[in-house]
Amino acid sequence: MSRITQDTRNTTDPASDKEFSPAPDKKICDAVSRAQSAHPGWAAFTATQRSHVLYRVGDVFDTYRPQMIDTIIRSHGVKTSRAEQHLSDAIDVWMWYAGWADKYAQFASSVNPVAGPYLTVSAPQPVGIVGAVVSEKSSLVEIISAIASVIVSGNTVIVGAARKNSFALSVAEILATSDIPSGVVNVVTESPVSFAAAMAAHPNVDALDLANLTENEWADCCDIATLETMKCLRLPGTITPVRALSRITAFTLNKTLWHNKSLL
Amino acid sequence: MTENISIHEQHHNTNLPEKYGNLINGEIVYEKDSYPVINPANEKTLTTVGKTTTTTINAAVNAARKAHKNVWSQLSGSERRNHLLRIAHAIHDNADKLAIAESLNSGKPLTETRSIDIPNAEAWFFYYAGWADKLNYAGLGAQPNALGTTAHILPPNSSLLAAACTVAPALAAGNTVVVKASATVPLPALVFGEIIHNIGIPPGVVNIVTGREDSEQLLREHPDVKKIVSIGSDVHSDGARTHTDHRTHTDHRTHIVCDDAPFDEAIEGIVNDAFMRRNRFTARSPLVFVQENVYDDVVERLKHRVRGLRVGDPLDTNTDIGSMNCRRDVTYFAQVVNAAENEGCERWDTGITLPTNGLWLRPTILSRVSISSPVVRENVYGPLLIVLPFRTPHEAIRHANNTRHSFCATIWSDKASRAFAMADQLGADTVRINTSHSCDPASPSDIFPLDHAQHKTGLSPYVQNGETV
Repeated sequence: MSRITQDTRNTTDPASDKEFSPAPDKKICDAVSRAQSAHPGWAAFTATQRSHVLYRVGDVFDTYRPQMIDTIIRSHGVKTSRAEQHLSDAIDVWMWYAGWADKYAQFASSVNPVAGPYLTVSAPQPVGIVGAVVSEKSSLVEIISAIASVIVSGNTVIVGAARKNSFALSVAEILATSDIPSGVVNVVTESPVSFAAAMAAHPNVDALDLANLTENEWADCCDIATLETMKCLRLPGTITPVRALSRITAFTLNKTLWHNKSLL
Repeated sequence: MTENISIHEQHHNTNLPEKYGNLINGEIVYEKDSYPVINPANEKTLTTVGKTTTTTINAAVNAARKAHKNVWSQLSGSERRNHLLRIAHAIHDNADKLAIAESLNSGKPLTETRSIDIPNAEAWFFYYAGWADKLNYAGLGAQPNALGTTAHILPPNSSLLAAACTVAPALAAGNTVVVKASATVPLPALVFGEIIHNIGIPPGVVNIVTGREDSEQLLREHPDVKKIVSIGSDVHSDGARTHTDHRTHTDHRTHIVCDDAPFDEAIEGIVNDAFMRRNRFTARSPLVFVQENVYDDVVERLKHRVRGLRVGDPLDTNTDIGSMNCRRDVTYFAQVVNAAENEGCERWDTGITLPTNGLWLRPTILSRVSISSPVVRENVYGPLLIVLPFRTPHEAIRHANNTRHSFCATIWSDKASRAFAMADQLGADTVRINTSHSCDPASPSDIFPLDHAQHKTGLSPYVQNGETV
C-alpha cells in the first residue's frame, strides 16, 4: 500500500551540489506524527501506570495464541511444541520489560557528590520518538524486545518492518487491541534501508534502533549523514541479550538538576 | 461511588462468617479453641478466630519449609512473577471485601482503607512481581539465594499493608512465608488468606496464622524460620536482636513548619498525618515544630481544621476519624494528655460526645508544650497533635534530632534551598518537603531504612548475604 507518487525528482543543494535525500514517504510521516502526538501523554503516565498497561498486554497476547503459533510454525518450520515455547518466551520477554517501568530509573540515576552546596540529581528521561528497524529475518522475540524496551520508559516507537517479516503485523494487531494508547506503537512496512534513511531524515524523530539490520543492509545505510542528528542510536553488531537493562537505558537521556541548598 | 448507597446497603455486605481459620499449606484450618474478634467501634463481636497453638505454628513453618524446598525454589523467576501478579489481581478483585474487613476490625475509616491500604497493598505486590524475574539486576549478585522461610509479624494498625510491604519482597526473592497477624486485629490477614488460597499459588508458599506474643516467640525461636520481620509489632518489648531479626523502623513523624510555609497545604498535611493516617505503622503522634512568629496563627488554623473533622462509624464514608483498636492505648492516651495538661500545656480537643461503647478518643491538640516536657518523649498512639515553637531552623533541627527513635520528617517551607539544607541536617530516614506521607513501593527505603546498600529494591533483607544488620 505504498503511497509514493511516481513522479518524484531529486533536488540538489546549490551550496554543496549534493542531492537532498528524498522526502520521507507519507505513511512514514503519518506514523511519526501519530507517535509525536502520543508521546506527551504516554510519558506523563506514572511509571506504575505504564507497567500496568504493559502487563495487561501479556493477557492480550494469550488471546492471540493460536494465530501466533500458526505464524511461528509457518515461518520457522518448527513443531507446535517448539512454537509454543517460542511464543511463551516472547510473552515472557514482554512481561520482563513491563516490570522495569517503575524500577529502571533507580539504576540509571544518581545524586552527584559535587563540590558545593547543591543537591545535584541526574535521572533518565525518555528520549522521545524512536524509530526501530525490523528485518525480514527478525524473530518474534527480537521484535517484542525492540518494542517493549523502548516504550517502557515513555518513548513512542515507529517500527519499520520488512515486508516479508511474518511477525511484525501480527504484533501490531495485538498491540492495537490492547489498551496501549493509540500512537505509542506504530508499525509500517518498508524496506529497512529506506526506513532508516527516512527516519534519520525526519526532523521529529529523536532516536533510531538499527540493531536488527543485517550486515548488507547496514552497509547500505551506514553513511547516511543524518544519522548523526539522532540523540540515541543503537547500531547493529552490538550483541546484547534479549533481556537487558541496557536496551531500556539506550533510549533515555540523562537530565541533571542542580538545586541550591545553602540558604539556611 | 458510594454516595448513592444507603447506610443499610453499606452494612449489607458486612455479614461475616461465624469463624475464620488460618491458612496453612493451602488449606483453611480451624482451631479447636477460638476467641471472639471485636469491632472496636461498638465492641460487638464480629466473628471468632482460632486460638493458635504450638502445633499450628509448627505446622505452618513446616508447610512453608517444604513448599520452599520442593516447589518455590524450583520455580523460575517468571513463574514466581506470575504468582505474585495473581495475588495482586486477587487483591484488586476483592478490594472492597478487604477494605471492609480492615475497617471493621481496626476501626480505621472505610475511606482510608479503600483509598490507601488496599490500593497500596496491591501496588506493592505488582511492584515486587516485577522483581521476581530480574533478581540478577537487584545488586545482590548474579544469582541471589533466598533465605528459605521468613516469618512476618503484622501490627494491628495496618495489617494488610504491612503484610504487602514485607511479604511481596520476600516472595519475590524466593522465600516462603508465615504471616502472623495481630491477635486483636486478625481479620484483614485472614480474609486475605481466604482470598488467595484458591487462586493457584502452590500450597505452603503463603501461610497465615494469628496469635499473641507467645506465637511470635515461637516463630522467633523456630530453627526453620530464617528471618523474622516485624513492622511496629504489637509486642512493645525490645527483645534480643539477633541476626535473624529484621525490625523495620516504626514511623515517628515530625513536622517543621517554617514561617514561609505553604500554610494551606501544611495544615492539611499535618492534620492528615496526625488524625487520618495516624495508624499507619506509627508509634507516636506527630510532633509539630512551628516557627515562633507564626505559631499562634498555625495553632488556630489547626484547631479550626480539626473541628471540621468527623469522628464516626468507620464504615460510614463521611467519617474522617474512626475508633482506636486497643484499650491499653486509649487509657494511656488519657494518662499522657492529662499529665501534659497538669504540667501547663494547653490542651484542646473537639469536645464532641463520644459513644459509650467502643474505643473512642477525641482529636486533641497540645500546644504551649516545651521541648523538655515528658509528653514529647512518649509513644502515644492516638489522635494527638503536639505543637511546639521554634525560633530558628537550626533550633528546629536540633530539637527534631533530639530523639533516640528513628523518625521521618516533613519540612514545610516554600524556600527549597532552605528545605534542602535542613533535610541534610535532619537525622530523619525520610524527609518530605511540602507533602504528606505516602507509601510507594518504588521508594522502599521509607519502610526499610536499614537496608543500606540495596536501598533501591527493598529486597536485600530477604536474600542470603544480602543485609547488614
